[in-house]
Amino acid sequence: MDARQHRPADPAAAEHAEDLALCERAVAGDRLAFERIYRRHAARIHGLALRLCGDRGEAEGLVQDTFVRAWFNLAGFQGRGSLPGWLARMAVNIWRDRFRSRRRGAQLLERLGAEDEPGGTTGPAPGGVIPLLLAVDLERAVAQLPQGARTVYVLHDLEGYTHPEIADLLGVAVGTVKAHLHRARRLLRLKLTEPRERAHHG
Amino acid sequence: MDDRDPVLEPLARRLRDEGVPPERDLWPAIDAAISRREGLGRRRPLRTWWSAAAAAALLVGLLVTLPRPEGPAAPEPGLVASAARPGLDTVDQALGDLEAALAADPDNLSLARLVLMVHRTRGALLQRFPTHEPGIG
Repeated sequence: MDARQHRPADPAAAEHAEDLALCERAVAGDRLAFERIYRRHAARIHGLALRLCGDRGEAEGLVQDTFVRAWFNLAGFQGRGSLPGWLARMAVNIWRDRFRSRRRGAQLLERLGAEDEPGGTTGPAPGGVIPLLLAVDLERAVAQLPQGARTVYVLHDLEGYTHPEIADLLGVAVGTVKAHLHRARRLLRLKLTEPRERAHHG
Repeated sequence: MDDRDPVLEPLARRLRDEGVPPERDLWPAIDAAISRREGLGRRRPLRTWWSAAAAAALLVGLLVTLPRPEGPAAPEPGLVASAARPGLDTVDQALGDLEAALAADPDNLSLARLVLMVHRTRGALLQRFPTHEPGIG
């Protein structure tokens, strides 16, 4: 984790190099450096927490716990991969522990699998490009997903977890994960295209 | 199998990268929690251990003595929940301290077993009195 070995060739590399430098200082006990790390990555982790928890208070608690745990484990970050990615994994692990401790994972997904879909639409969403949409539109649409679909979509499409990893995290079958992901994407496309179609026909 | 949705992926990437800033500054609470746990780890490790063990014992006692919240003769679930709430708060606090101690000393098997025991006991209590825990999502 020697920041001096990393010579930034592009903005992402520069960000990574700065993260590594801050990590070195924080591992040595520099709390101000760790605060800088928090300021740089709080939005990323809070966004993830909000999507996983679906509740602002719970999400803030998860962010706090993630950074507290990160402080005590920062020496374990070896600089492989990105620091925000490492923090995100930590947040997911904390969230998973709570999820498991409640022992509701399988039952929850099973129950959510039977939820009604909004609007009763079962056909495929319109394909092609969804024009002029902002990330905030997707954020809003993700927040409206049923919990099982939302969780799987966030972990897979936003955080990069594989189907088996998610199945292991949630204690469900890989097929269930795939079904939730398929459903999530279909619902998202519907939600993202719905207003435009209404506008056209209304 | 194509693991990425070509339509949603560009938006998803922006969503992931941009994040959502917290509405309030969480750093003061994080800073305070770190200081508190560091202080506990340095000055009062035994007390932390014993508080966790006492909390676990309290949980076991609650599990044994409290009636189940269902059934015709059972008291109101809310009453049972409020009776057990202080115990859970104590356990949550001790659990946080224990996890911090374990993070600082990850090879300590006794500590790891204690964390596991407290987690399991807490989970059993929550399963028995589900009104204690807010819903997921």
